[in-house]
Amino acid sequence: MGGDLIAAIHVAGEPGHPQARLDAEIRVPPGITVLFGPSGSGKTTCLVTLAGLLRPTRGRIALGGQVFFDSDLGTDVPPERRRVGLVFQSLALFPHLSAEANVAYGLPAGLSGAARRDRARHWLERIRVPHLAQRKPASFSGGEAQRVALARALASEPRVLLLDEPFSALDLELRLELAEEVQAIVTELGLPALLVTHDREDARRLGRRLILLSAGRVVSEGVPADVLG
Amino acid sequence: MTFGPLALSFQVALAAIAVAGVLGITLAGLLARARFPGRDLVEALILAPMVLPPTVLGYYLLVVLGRNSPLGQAYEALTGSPIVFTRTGAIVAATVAALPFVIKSARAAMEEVDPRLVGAARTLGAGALRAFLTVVLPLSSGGIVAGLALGFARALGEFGITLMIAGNIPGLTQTGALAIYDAVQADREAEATGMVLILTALAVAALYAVSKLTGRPRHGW
Repeated sequence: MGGDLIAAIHVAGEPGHPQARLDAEIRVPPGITVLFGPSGSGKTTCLVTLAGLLRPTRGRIALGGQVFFDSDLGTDVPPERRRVGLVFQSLALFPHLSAEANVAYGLPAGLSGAARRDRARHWLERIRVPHLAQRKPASFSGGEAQRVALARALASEPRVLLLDEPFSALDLELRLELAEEVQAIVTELGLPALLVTHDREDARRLGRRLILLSAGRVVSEGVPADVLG
Repeated sequence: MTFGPLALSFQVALAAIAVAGVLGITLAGLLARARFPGRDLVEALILAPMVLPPTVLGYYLLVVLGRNSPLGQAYEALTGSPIVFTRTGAIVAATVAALPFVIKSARAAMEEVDPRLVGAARTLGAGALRAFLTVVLPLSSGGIVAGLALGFARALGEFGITLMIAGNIPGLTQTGALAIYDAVQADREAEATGMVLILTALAVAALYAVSKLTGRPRHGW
């Protein structure tokens, strides 16, 4: 797999995003790294910048040997060519498409219709919501929607996974269950994954590494127990 | 009563809404998503036909498309027929009248689409065009169809611009609205009344369709 995701990002507030300010250097090796910090500390800005949806004022973003963004070189790979699996906090499931069509949306072009359906079904089963295949997001429970969003991100064969508070809508039991599944998949695929949370318990439990963000800056990083005390 | 002018109105409005639909949806998509300097000015110019007197619009079109204008001459050299005082002129007039309605309604609907859905589509491998076609368009289809219906109704009743650049030539450019004017002038009251009622019914049907398509969701307690 692709190796570490390394980024040095500076985002000054933009006209459309005045609240987005960030000045951070981060490294995400394979496995789950938790991005922890209070609301407004720049966690979501960090994710959308890595995904290519927000252009940094300056900096450099690279995954393994591939440069996604480099302000000095003028490199800016568009989001559709970064192969970054992003799960928004709002999940952003396409409301007009069934779960199966949502998951199939990001499958590589060139697959036949039958192959697309099989691949989408595979991920819905893997994430344990095969019964939702033909249903639309409006009828999903919070946990079901989160599972479908996760299946959609994974089906696109990402080289890095970015998860914005992916378990926030769940009660504790479901949270643990889904977290374990994510951990297993990330380990199996050898994916670097950056998981945003502002929940201290989640932060302790989920990541091997933790980056503590405050007011757009990295305050500390290391083993969760050490950083959080 | 003759149905000729009404049938012509219908044909012209259909052709006009096809052109205004393609142009309007494209421009609405650009205005809703793209940021460029002078965007507000471009929008004001695009929507101006809603409030300008039809004679003013007709005058501009005569200047731009008339037989002495470069565009008009190029068109005539290419097709052998001028734009002004032909059926093509009537279609151009109706298109200009309908276009702002399509753009305004489609743009408002497109801006309602959550930008995170577009962002999700992009990270899933869709380029800007595919994200527009597969996410923005279907999710704003209600507003787009409403804009098309409004534009069609406006095109169907077009009078002033048509008179300026297509004239009032029976059998060629005399649409329903123009024929009503002629019938009233010539005291053919029954004929005028028949056409008035039919045009009214068509316009009301279009507006009814719009309210059905853009109906607010019912809120419970």
